[in-house]
Amino acid sequence: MQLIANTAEGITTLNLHGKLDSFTSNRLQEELLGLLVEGARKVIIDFSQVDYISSAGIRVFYVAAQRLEVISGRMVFCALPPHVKKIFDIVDMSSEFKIFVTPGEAFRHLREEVS
Amino acid sequence: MNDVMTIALVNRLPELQRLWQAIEDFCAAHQLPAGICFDLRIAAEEIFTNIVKYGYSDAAEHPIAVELALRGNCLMVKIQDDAAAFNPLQIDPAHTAGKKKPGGRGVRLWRGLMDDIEYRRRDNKNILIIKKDLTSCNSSPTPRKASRP
Repeated sequence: MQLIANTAEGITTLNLHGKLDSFTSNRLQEELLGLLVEGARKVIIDFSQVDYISSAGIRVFYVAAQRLEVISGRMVFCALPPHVKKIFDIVDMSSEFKIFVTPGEAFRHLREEVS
Repeated sequence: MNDVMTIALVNRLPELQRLWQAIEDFCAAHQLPAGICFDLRIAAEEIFTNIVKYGYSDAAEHPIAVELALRGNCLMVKIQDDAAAFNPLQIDPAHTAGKKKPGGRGVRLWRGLMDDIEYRRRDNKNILIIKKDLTSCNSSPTPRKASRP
């Protein structure tokens, strides 16, 4: 798994590559929570390059969501490949997180949102 | 390759890599759709890690036997362990619904991916059989082939 974070206009986009599983999720959690510690408050998770996600990976986003609620941050998802969307639908993540088709839509949403 | 493949594992997380490899080999040998292999891989991770993390009260090594079998249009995976009794069919899949708690989605996830599940407890062992109907999977979303090494 690889992570690439970019911040523009106060919005941090985290591009995830590879597999989010029992072996990689700890690092994902460290990196994602690390971004929040460094001050990120508006976060986009780009799933376009995610090959695989299990409940270990899913868990990380709920941990981050709890943290973001405390610090009044926002996190949205974008670019879910069909195999990731299927997983999100099964565990109801699709209804619990805001999901956009493209990174651009996610970015505009967070930029225009009144915080 | 035979229509049945057995793998002897122990209750250590790194063993999951061997289980995944066996699933990939089995799927490749039988030319199963990538979507099937993807679903099985997830179910295997959820079930195996659950046994390893929560199944035992001691630190000793315990055997976990996995059997992959193809019977007509049905792919079956049997997982046998001597961990504490755990019947996944008794888990209410809705228990995490609407709750933004981090944990508790594993069973719901793999149950949602499989077409049929059987569980029995015999001789102090959990015997779990998960089934995937190959005819129902042709329309499943297929994971993108990894473009990187």
